[in-house]
Amino acid sequence: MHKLVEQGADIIELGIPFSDPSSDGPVIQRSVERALAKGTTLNQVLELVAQFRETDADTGIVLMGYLNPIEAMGYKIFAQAASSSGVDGVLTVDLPPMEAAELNSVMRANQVDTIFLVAPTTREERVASITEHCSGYLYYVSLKGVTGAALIDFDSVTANINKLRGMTALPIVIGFGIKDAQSAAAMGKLADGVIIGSAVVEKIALLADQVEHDEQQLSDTIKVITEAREALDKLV
Amino acid sequence: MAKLEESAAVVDTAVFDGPDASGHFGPYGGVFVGETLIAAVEELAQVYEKLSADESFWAEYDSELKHYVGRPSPLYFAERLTDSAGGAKIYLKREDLNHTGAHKVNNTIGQALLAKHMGKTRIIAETGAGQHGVASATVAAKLGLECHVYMGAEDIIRQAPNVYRMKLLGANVISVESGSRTLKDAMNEALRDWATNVDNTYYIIGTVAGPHPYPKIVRDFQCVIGREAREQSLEQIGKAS
Repeated sequence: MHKLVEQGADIIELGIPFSDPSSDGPVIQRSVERALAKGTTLNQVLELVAQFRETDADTGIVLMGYLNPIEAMGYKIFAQAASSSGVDGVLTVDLPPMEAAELNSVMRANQVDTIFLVAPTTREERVASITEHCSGYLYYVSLKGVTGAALIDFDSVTANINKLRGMTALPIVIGFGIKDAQSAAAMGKLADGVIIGSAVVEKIALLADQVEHDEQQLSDTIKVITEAREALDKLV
Repeated sequence: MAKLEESAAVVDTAVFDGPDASGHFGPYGGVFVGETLIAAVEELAQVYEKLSADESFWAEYDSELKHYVGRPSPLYFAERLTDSAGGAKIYLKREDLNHTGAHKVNNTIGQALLAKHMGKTRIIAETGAGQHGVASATVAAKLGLECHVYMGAEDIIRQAPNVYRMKLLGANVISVESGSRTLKDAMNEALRDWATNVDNTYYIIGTVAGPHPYPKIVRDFQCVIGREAREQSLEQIGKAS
């Protein structure tokens, strides 16, 4: 995680492993299967954040996952633990805003942001109810499909981001399907941030069975972040 | 029997406790899917609300049940099983005698009609033992719709005859290798397909699961079993409870 920051990540979205990741493509699916096979729990994810915070107080940490593990832990316990571990925001992909009132109020009471998605299929009338519940940033899903898919329609994203700008003052970030410097730069022109998930996780998978990794291996693993950062910095 | 046919398929939702307007059954139910699918489930809820208030829709469904599925299915007094068990009288509602050999078709024929009314051209379904897959493949073939069935890799091995039937009916059976390689993983994979092909695809869920309005829709289409059983009980036993 520190290496990601060193290579230019401003915010780290950390996944909470769950057995039924129905919005995720094969790369993230396999990553949660590996994590669950090794017994990774939500508590361990929170401990990882706390450990990271010992030496980094500034980088944003957002937990991303599905509602089930949070529901199982209990909203209050989770919110307090997230807050004291140093989590800045939570994104639960299968919790739409209309079901989110209870979790939202508990998270807000603990100063943790709740981030929601807007998809290409989201009707305009719905956007207001999403932005009303959303804090931190608004996550625009670049395509119809699952994480790591490959068919971003640039014109449709442009049109939708422009519409969203008129409807919210929240920062807008784009994710799903951004896999290299080129797609990061294309989306970076439109958004306040871009999210790279599967492209990094795919590389991390190659290290999954190794206990030790050297600096060079780590740099190679997250090279896509380094390159995306450079491409985005050129835009400014 | 005449009476039974007339009363076949009018769903009187007033007799149910739920779901409420937001799709909840007390603390259960609701809509818990990714944002990409919200518009699709909302559209389905709207269409179903409209059609389920329309008598001609139920007449169409009713006609399919009678002439295609072969309803009403018999209520059969299992005399020797009753003797052997030595307690209550055991009756079997013979859903196995429906076309495709299970109760699943009551639901798939209804949902396929919804798909047709919504102008969808592609059907997807998940299946465990394979009965829902067969029932989905059958109604898709009947209505000329493309059909893809997601099935866990483990289940494909265990239920080979049903896989053969689905393929015979023209369906594409997709082996799901993720997770525990069983029903829930097939459902996840079907949801991923739906998110990707949401514009032209109708997802036929086979059981009272998934986001609202699915549990309500499946419940309503399977009500025919209970309604018939009640009529038949009155006719054969003289009481229904």
